[in-house]
Amino acid sequence: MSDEKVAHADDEHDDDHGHGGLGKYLAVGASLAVLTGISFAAGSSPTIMNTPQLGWTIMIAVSCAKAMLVMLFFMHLIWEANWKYVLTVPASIMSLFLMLMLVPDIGLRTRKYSEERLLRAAVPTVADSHSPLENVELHQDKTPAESHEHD
Amino acid sequence: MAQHDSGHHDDHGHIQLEYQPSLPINNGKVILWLFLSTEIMFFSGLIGTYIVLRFGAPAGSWPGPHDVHVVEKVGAFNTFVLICSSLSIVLALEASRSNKAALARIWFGLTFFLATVFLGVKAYEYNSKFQHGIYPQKPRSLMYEKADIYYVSAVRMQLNDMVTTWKAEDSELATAPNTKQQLEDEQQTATARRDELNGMSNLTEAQNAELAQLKERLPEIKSDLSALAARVTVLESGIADRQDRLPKAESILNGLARWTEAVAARTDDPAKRQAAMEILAYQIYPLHRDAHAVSEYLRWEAADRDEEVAKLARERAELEARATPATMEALNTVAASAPEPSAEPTTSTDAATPPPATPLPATLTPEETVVLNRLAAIKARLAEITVREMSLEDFFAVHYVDDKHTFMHAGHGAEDAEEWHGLNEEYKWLKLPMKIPSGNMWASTYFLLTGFHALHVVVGLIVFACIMPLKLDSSRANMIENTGLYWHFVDLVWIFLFPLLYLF
Repeated sequence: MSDEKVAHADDEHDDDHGHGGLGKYLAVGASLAVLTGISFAAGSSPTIMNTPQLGWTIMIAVSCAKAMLVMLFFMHLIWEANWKYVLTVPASIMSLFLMLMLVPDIGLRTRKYSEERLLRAAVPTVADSHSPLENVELHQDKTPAESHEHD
Repeated sequence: MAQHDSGHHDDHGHIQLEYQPSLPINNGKVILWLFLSTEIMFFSGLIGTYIVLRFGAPAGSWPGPHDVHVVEKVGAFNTFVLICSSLSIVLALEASRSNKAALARIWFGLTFFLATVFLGVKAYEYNSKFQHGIYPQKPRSLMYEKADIYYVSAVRMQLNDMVTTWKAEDSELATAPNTKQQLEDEQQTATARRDELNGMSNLTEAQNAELAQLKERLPEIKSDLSALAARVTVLESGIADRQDRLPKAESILNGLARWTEAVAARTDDPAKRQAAMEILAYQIYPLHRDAHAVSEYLRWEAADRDEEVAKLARERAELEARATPATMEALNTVAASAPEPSAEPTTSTDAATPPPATPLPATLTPEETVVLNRLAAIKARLAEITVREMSLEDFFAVHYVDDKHTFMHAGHGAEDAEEWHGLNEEYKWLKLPMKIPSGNMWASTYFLLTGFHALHVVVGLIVFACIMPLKLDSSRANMIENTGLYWHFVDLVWIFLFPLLYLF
């Protein structure tokens, strides 16, 4: 009686015969290559990158699709039990959250400058910008933006 | 009493606990997935930081791929290589599960090979960045955030160092024969004296001391001579390079760098000062979005010139209206006898400062002389300002006098303006500081991200090397699966790194 319910921990040998298979893997591999091509074409095409946000969205979407393909098929997750959510969902939440938490200090670092940091800051040179320091609030009275005025 | 619980009971009524795994997978897989979720957080921290840094930079202040020598095609090729390696490792797993050990090893070998290719391409990419002075950190990194006075002085210092070092080497080489002769003479006299002393008997104390000193000195001379010979060989091997590079470095220093410093130091208008420094940066390493800075500067120069011309014309008209006929006559005589053009119009309202080298007809009064000199100066100055609208070519030709083509577009005409890749490209040995806004931030994140990823690839390679010699039959399928999981994760990270670093 005690034999029956011995754990079948190592028994996925039976489960996996129905999974995977050369055909599936080759198809996934081909899709990955095609998606890479799409991403590369989008990133290199001047028309799409004219609206950079469009290009970035396409590329992120392609990257997510590729990631899902690798995770589901190559890493076998599509055939795994619900524990896959326990591992992947918190990790994904953490990664997004960590990134969001950096935005106020680092993402918005060009909104406010101390005088010393401004001295060393990279000044964006965009052909049609009137003043690269427009958005900058300084902790002092006069902004260098005024001294860059020239007509 | 314990009949209704779920455990089994043996004959003595004791509960027999049985092992119920919480997850239907082997321990190795559980642990590896836990490790992978930590890796997800690790890389998402790094990648997230890059995303925040990059998108927090205002438009135009983050280097584009071309600015930092990132070639998209190479990245795409690497992505493809990793995808194939992911595929091959999963096929190795399939083969192992079907007990085809030899086939599994072949697939594994292919994965190993593809991973090596990836690393080789990465090494090539890193090398091309290092060649262009893009390092993760100063002092090796040649990147500056903006073209300010620190940048200009860094450029000047480096050029100065190059020129002085090479000149010193040239003069060292020139004086080497003299030094050699001196040493050889000393050697000769010392040897003769030593032999003389050796031949004598009953040496005094002083003579003994002298002999000892000579015996010490002779080997020193010998080693000095051989060191000198070695040094001469080294210096001679560098002659060709120095002959080629020294004049170029000098002309960049005396033309471009000095001009920039002159404008930056003396012009009142801060925007013009900035533009001059931008031009220096543009000449060294052009960021094509900065091309407008050069043409803006030319517009300002033209506007200033026009203003000066107008001012001088007004002044001349005024003076001529007041001038006596004697003055005008003297002016014509002075003009006829080759007047000396002064570089700057002298402030001639002060009669106590007579301008140099102007012949003074005795018939004129002091005031008339003053007026005369002023008119002559104005005439000379107007003659200087001949060009109304300078083209880019002429501008560079005037300011970077020595070799117009060197500083312009490498011998091509103005229609090849897009071909100009900067002095650093033209002369690879120059390695002058370059202006790349946010370049250092970019470089340190790029090298950190790709470096950590490459380290993970190396770890994967080590694991492959350990596994491949084993018999990869179905008993090892779990090990191969777990290795595969790790490798797929490495591929996953690259899937996100590629667009972020290469295409954004």
